[in-house]
Amino acid sequence: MRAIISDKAKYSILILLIIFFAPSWAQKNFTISGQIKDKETGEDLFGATIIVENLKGVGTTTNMYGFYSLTLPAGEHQLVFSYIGFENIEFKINLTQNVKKDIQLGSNSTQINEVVVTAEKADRNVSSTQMSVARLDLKEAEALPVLFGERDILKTIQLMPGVQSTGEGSSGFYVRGGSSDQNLILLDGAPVYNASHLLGFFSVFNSDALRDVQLYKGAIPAEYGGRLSSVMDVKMKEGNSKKLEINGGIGLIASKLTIEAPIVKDKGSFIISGRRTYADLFLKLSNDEMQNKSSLYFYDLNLKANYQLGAKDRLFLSGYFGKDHFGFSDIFGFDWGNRTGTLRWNHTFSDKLFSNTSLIYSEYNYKISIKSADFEIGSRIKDYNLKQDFDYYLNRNMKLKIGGNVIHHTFDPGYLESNNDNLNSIDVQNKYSLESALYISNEHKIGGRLTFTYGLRYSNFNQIGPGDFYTYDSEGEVKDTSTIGNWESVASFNNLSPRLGAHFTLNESSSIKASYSRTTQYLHLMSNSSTGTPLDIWLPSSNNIWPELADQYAIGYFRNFKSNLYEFSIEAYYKTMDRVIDFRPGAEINLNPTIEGELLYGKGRAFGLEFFVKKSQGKFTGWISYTLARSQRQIEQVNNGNWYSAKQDRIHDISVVAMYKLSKRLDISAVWVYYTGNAVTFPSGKYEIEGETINYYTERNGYRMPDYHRLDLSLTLNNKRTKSYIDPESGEKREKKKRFESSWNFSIYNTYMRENAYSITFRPNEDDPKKTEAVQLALFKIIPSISYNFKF
Amino acid sequence: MKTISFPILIFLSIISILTFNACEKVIDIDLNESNPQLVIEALVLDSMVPATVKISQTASFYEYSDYVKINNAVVNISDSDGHIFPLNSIGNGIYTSDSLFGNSGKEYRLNVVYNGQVITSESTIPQKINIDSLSYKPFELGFGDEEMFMVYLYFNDPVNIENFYRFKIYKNGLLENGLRAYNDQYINGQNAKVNVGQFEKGDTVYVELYSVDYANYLYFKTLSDASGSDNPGNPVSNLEGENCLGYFGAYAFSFDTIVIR
Repeated sequence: MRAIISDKAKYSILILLIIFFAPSWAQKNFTISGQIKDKETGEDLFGATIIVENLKGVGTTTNMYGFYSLTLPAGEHQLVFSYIGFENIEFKINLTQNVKKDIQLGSNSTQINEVVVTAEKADRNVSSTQMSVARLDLKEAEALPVLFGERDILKTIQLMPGVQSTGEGSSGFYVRGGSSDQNLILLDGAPVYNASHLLGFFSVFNSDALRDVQLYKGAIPAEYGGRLSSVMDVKMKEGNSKKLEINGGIGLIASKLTIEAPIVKDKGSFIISGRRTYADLFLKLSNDEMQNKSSLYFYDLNLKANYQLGAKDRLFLSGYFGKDHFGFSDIFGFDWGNRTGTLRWNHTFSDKLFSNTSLIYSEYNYKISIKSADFEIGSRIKDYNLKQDFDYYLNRNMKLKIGGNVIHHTFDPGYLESNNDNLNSIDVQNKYSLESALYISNEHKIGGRLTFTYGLRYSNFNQIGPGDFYTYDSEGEVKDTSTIGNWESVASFNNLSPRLGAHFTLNESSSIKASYSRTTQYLHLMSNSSTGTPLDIWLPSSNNIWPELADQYAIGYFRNFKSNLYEFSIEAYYKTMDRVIDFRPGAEINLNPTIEGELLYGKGRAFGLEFFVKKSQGKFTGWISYTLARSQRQIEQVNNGNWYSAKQDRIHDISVVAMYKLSKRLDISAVWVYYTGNAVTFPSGKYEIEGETINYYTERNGYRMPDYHRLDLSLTLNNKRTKSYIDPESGEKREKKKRFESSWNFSIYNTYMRENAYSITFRPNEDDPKKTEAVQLALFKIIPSISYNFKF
Repeated sequence: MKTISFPILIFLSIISILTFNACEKVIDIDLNESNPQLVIEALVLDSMVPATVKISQTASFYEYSDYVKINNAVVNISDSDGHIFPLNSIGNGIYTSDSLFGNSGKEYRLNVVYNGQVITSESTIPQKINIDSLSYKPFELGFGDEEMFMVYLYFNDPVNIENFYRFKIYKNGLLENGLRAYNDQYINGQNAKVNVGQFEKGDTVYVELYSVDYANYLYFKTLSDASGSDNPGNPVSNLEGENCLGYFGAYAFSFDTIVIR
């Protein structure tokens, strides 16, 4: 037995060596490289697959910019290019030299006599080396029911296993038992610090402007870092580089319009997309002065342009501007919003080396002006980020990613500017820090069946001056103050985060994947709500706040049935978190210069099983996801130091999504969601202080909210997409595609009117204060909505 | 008719959402029972008001709020000069002393013995801050038929020290709010103006201002933070001992009255 194992080990080391040095002595190799694009819009296709039919297990996928590179032995090869929802392209090529080959794939839906949407031979589930990823098909999401007539990717992604909603109607989410501030949300590489509008009911993402959304729940690739639980990478559309395209939508509370067009055909394009709510117009209709003097709206604007400078260079410029406003007459106003900007340069050094240089800006701020009392409160976070990434296609078996970045963070934790004699102005000192990282990772194929992805991310976080810095005693009182000069280091942290993954192909339709990843979080959200509010502020790791750490192990089995008609996966994960943050009772979060003394630190653990079955072809499509999970915390000063359930410890979480194409023009869909109620703290008694009833608590999160469930339905009525004409040559009746597409969407949220508990309060009865009762608040009993979308 | 009613239905629902006209109802939820805890409210004031200690017990949440009053505890308060003042039960869980009146700057120590349980606490009376005045003016955001008035309280916060305050507000002789507590973060060294609340014409508004120590501020701050919080908990108490809730406050006291005409 022992001998066999050691033989195997020797054998695998030998194999490894052979593969590593293979290029040096193997037969002559040539590289085929190029870009894969959407034929109709000219958009890059990210994650398109290239398979070499004649060489088993050989193939590659395109990177974010549609770039691919494949090194093959000289000779004749049969290549298949494919992408979900697009027609495959197959051709034979005789490799006698390095070849550059750009491919344009056509969408299935452009077929005229299309009735049934057929997807590509989608074995990505099984063949992709990446595990623990939720990828959203934005086209698919279009058919789902929506709340208030607004499509929202952050709500759709909550229907995937391991992703939970933070609450009724909310765009916030928890990933694998982590808290909502442990998700890194990137828009074209720029972090979005507060991804919600209108107190969480909408996300900042206007679906019309987006092209691709990926959520890494685990096995986070080495190029990402900065948050513990997940990375959501959202990419904006590049704009149609073939022709002018306009699409828009009119909903009950918001409307949007998107314009895309080529700058120079096939060389450059732009997109502008805007959205604004007009909910406050309805308020104006109200007779109630409290309502008709209020204003409440948000808008956002997405802009992007790209230009091909030559065969090897391409520039991108993208930006997002969003703002929320809430006000009452001229008495007070509350404004908040994100701004991001990304300037990016793609350069193809060779057919094997692809480079990506980005300069990224990101900002979030809020401002409250109380005009009646003549003062203003605000806060801001601002980042400049320089990032360099290389994709290096070393050989047919190895795909290297190497890169690094430096972020300069500026935090303005808060100010109060008063022109009021009764009120002091306060300015909490700005904080500055540098966050830098270097990474390397390799996707390494060993034989036809095994792929290892191994990577390492080194990160450094340096809190720098100028400013006054405090140290605190165990009670959180200031012990010592020191003044630090410009750019001087106050605290510095180094971390090595290994990211390991293995993918083993069992057979054509099944595989096993395993991964380990360590993540580090240097920025910490200060919030007294677990769902997030516009007033939340971010603070850097410092001489008092240590970085948070997490380790996650995951293993999964992936299987497709009936030649990829059904995909199935089951994943198990175990995650530990270190130095997670909570607050001392009575902690003052806003405008507090010594907030670092108000923090408590503890541990967390989360584990679970995720099941996912999906059917993505045919008239009837949809998926079922089920998550069985726990998430717990332990903090010395909370709950007597015992482990307790985190709020998002939901145990069971089920989503059922069904879509049916009734006819060419009519789609119906249904979504059913069920989850165990959140862990909450309820009183176990009561007493009286100053004549008022006070609840008495015995443990943290020892109770459960009632189970949550609801059914949403939707019906989409499309206009006639074709018109008939008589072919003048043959005299036959033919059909032609119409340029103008439109659709009506009718949705019902919470169809069977379940009163799901949004909150439960324990309080005295209004008529008889000596009687106390539990009062449940349900937010949305049933919400019908209607929207109209068009495209031409 | 049908074509009109559908959009109207939607508009109505939109409006009801925007005005947060959500639906509330009383529900049944099983709650755990807990062992009864001793609840102590103890007060020493720098005035002619005698020191008072109230002792009761916690009750089950769904019980009618007639709390068990404890009349057979041994209660005394001592001062930093070494004087010990026994407090006598006058029934209904209340203990008082005729001879104990507080002084600014002095530290007081509470000692309660009940059923073998010993509970102690300390509190110091801070510098006295007097109410400057009370005023009122018509409420700008007033709606409806009743004319409402906003009442304001003025006092001078000393600049060099950190001050903590409690307010008790009475309307026509009845306690309206006894739980408000503030620090001087926003008003340090200012002529502070504090919004007392909305009242109607004819109301008599009586306000008590207590200068309190940090522990008492923290108790009342964490008490009010707990309601409506995602993670409610018991307030941070300055009482030391097992199975007890409440606070011991030694306060400097000032008051004023205004009648809205």
